[in-house]
Amino acid sequence: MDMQETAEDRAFRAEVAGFIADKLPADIRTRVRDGYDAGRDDTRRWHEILAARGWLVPSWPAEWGGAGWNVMQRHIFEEECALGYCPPVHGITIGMLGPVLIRYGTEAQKQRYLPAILNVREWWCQGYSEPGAGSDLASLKTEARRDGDAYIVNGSKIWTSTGEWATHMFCLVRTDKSAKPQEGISFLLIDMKTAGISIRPIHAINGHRLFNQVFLDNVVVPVENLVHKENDGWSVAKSLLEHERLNLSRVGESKKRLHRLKEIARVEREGGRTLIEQDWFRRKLAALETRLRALDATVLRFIARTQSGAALDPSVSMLKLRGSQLVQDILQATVDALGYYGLPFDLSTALSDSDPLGGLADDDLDVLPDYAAGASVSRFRSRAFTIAGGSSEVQRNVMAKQVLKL
Amino acid sequence: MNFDLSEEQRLLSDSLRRFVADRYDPDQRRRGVRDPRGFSQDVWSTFAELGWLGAPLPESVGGYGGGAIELMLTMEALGRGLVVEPFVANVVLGAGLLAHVGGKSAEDLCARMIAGETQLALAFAEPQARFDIEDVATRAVREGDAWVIDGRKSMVLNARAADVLIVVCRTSGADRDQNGLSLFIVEARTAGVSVRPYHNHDGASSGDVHFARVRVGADALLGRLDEAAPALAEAIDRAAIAECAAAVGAMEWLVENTIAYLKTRVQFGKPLASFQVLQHRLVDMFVTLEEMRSLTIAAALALQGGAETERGKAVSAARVHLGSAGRALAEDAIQMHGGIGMTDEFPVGHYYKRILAAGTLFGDHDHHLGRLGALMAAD
Repeated sequence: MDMQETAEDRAFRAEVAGFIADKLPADIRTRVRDGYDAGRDDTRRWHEILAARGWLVPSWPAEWGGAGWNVMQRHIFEEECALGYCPPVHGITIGMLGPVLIRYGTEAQKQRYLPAILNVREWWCQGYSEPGAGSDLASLKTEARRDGDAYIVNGSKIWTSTGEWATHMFCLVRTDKSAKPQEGISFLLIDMKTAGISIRPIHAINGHRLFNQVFLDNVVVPVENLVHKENDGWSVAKSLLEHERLNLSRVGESKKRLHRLKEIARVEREGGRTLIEQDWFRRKLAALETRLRALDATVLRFIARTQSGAALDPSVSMLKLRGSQLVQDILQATVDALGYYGLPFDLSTALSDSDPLGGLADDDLDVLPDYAAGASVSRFRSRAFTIAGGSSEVQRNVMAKQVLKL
Repeated sequence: MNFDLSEEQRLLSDSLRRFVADRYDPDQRRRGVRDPRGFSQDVWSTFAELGWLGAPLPESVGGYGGGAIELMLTMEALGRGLVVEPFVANVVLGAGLLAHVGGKSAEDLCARMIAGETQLALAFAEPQARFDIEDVATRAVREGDAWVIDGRKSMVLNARAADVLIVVCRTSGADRDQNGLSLFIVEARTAGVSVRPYHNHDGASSGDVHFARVRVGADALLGRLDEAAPALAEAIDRAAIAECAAAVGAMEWLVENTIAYLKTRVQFGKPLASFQVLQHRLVDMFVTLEEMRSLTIAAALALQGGAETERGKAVSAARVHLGSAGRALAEDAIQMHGGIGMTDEFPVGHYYKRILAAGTLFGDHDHHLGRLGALMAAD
């Protein structure tokens, strides 16, 4: 038994780190390092850089631009991207929609949509949750009625992140109201420019437009935009949630953020000494480091299991459960390390279309150290990590039923 | 032993809570946050007219003779309403300190504040000091008949609107000495004073204030030279408990409304409140709230008449609980609401932020854990 990376893994890690050092634009790196979310422009620029290197969709099959990496290499890549302050790739497009089309799409659908992702021309958003269907996703009510060669879609989707810049939405709709909840659902691809679609921004507690509500009013969707079989969309949806589940640990992100906290603690002072010199602060760091090490080693055990050919079992939910909370606690500890400067709130980078507080134009955050304002913004954002993409409660339900067989 | 409110206290609490429920909706709050001075003058004038600005202040400075219990009742109501008007800056830090020090100019200033005519702010914190109120590098140096102040203060609540700043300066000793601190009254428009404003995440208007060769007269000295530390410590403890009480009000709202939401939100064919795992979490939230209430009452009573060590212990214990269990309560309220709890348009997130801010102002969890341990060790 050993946990060491192989010589090939180490060489690969160095190659990825070198690429990032060479290619990641400094302005993007600074924004990500200081805790701000990458917007559309940063994400687009980074996608173009990755695409030029052939690393935009590493886990896709080679015929669709995949890099042919094994699961350990994919993990190393993810981790180095996080540690290097790269913006995350657009997971809804790259990690969710792409693999679904590759597995379930028709040849025509693949030819129509995959090249546009590889060329960084089209972006997707996810139409899953509804106001009345959150953790109980199968109770969704948006309906698609068949009318000749088209579906007529009516309903509303919510929490659609990046809906404001998505060109398309993949959408779960009810096509059979008489079937059991999970059996009457279909998976549709919808062009966001279609008549009848309107979008309402939802600002989050960090002041940013993190979500949207999308309204579908008699939206006409051609039948050829159905993915897989009518009324069998649930299996498509499930496969999408299973993809790249190892990444849900956010272990690279936690390493990066804990490293950043240490850097900040070398600057912030108390009683004439830096925080990193204080015993009480070291104990806080150590407690977080312990949880990070537990997560990291657990991730590696899952990777080893996968590499030996075993399928990921439902216990992989533990990675999302623990990993999401760890990032939250590291980010909160980072804000706590700032003392009073954890309180001022930066809305300058919030999207300008409807600044929720407004009238704060004379705010002068230049007095803060450069790491302060964004730390608070990302701390607030992280509260969503234990809610979105399968809440902590859902992860526990999955493990209670499917792992512990309770 | 008696935890009952007097008739006057009950009336004060009821009238404040009624005002918050009937007249302080999210639109009113937003108007306050967006106002160039950081709060609504209409609301402030109402506070003055109804006597709330003087309620917890002694009669010697024109107040109504109330104390820490009146302050607690007021702050619970203001916390429950997420009121952004600068009550702590004016009444607790400003007038509270002035009343403690006494003297003619202090009493005049208090009277003007109580009438709603003058805005006060206390400039005590500094960037290098973290939560140590005796770590003061801003200096006042005697030059002839004047004092000249140089330095930088951080997190000056109500800095935008303040007409008068009370500035904690070092007049002797090294940067972190307990002795050698003095208070100065500085008109905000004095040459050399510059405010760098910002908003805190809970909507409170605040800012850093820079003092560059700010020249004030000899009469600007408030209280005795070099001996401000005890009065300052008392005022900060009082403000720390005011924030605990505001958090109690905010936690009360969160507990009630999380219960109500889970009773109506149906998933998997039944209300979320029918799931036992969520029932237990709601019970824990409720118990945390009651513990927070108990610790805040105990600390308020210690502020009214306790020995200094007991005051410090009671205050720090309340602060520790707020920064750990109180924060967890607020985080859990968002979690149990799900996505809607993450939104700016729904109140839950604003209550969460208010509780976080309350947990930081005047010393966070780690600071008070250390202070409580030190006070226990010294016994």
